[in-house]
Amino acid sequence: MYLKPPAGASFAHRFDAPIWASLAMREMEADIACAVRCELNVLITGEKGVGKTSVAERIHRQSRRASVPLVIARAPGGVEAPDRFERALLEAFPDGAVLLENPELLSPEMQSRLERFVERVEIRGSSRQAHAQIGQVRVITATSSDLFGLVRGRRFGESLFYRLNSIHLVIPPLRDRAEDIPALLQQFLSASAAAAPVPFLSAGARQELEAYRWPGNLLELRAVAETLASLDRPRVETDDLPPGIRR
Amino acid sequence: MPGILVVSNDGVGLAHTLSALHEAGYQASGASSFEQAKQFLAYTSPDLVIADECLGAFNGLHVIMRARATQPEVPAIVTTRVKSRGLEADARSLNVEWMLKPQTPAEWLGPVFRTLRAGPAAGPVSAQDVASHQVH
Repeated sequence: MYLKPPAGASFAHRFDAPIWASLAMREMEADIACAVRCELNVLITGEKGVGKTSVAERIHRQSRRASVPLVIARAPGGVEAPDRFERALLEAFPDGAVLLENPELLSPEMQSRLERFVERVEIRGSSRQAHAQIGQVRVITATSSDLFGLVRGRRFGESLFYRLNSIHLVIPPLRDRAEDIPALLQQFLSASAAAAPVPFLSAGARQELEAYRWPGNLLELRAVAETLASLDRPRVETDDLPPGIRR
Repeated sequence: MPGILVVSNDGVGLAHTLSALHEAGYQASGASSFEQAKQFLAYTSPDLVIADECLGAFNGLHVIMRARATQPEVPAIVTTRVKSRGLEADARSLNVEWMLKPQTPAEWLGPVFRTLRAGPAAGPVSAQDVASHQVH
């Protein structure tokens, strides 16, 4: 279990001006720059809470399509109905951008429809005009599933996979880049303690934070920052950290 | 002697392709994965990048975009096993040649020669060129 952020809270940290200490994230910045420069489809993978949606939004915001909204298309599963999914795709037609979430939930039939959409050969939907046009919708896909593993297991279409992953960003989990934690925490603390001075992190507290596994990744780190900010102290000591984080 | 980076996770095909390019007088290097290609591009600047679309969890277009981060006009060819209108459109948008994967190493030589001759970020390979080098 990990600390969850308050319901409905916006993800304050949006990676807009990141200064990464880790090599992995600096490498990823190079790939994000590639994604911003071109119009290719982008696949973003990583564990829950690593900030996939934030990266997707940033790519879109900095791209040439920034003037059009990034339409969210959640793969039908649970409460999401297939026609709602298709409507979302059509909303971005003919030259907008779609954030496709959790494509692993798509049925084979829906995968096939999506493939026709990204192959720009056929648009199915209620709009007759759409049928007559060839669209150039950019699809940014975000998932915490191992989509390539599903391809190998024949549970996700190989050709669809390669149409979605023209650029593949793999966001590493926070535990694999502990050197990023202090700067990220400071950013979250700044956002949480808006008017107050940002508390200073003691060396002991920093060591504990870097040693922790962070199963909830950035979402969990932000929740911890909000807890620490609420203490309203100028300095964060080891004892101030939530019990689950202290060794 | 032009330097060519060939990226493919088909080990046998890659070895044969490199051999054919060497015999034709090119200085060809191979990378069998996206990671290897990235490492190669961090230290060298090839005159041509040839990448297979299917590189495990990654895509040959990603390799080409990485190459162009430091060499914006480097000519490139993306190969594919299956004809794809989406890939064709993507390749065109990047000014990248695309072709169906040749069956024999020797079939690489024509498109490679033409792409290098056309120079920086050359225009699309003609339909005739593609037809003469596609898998039958």
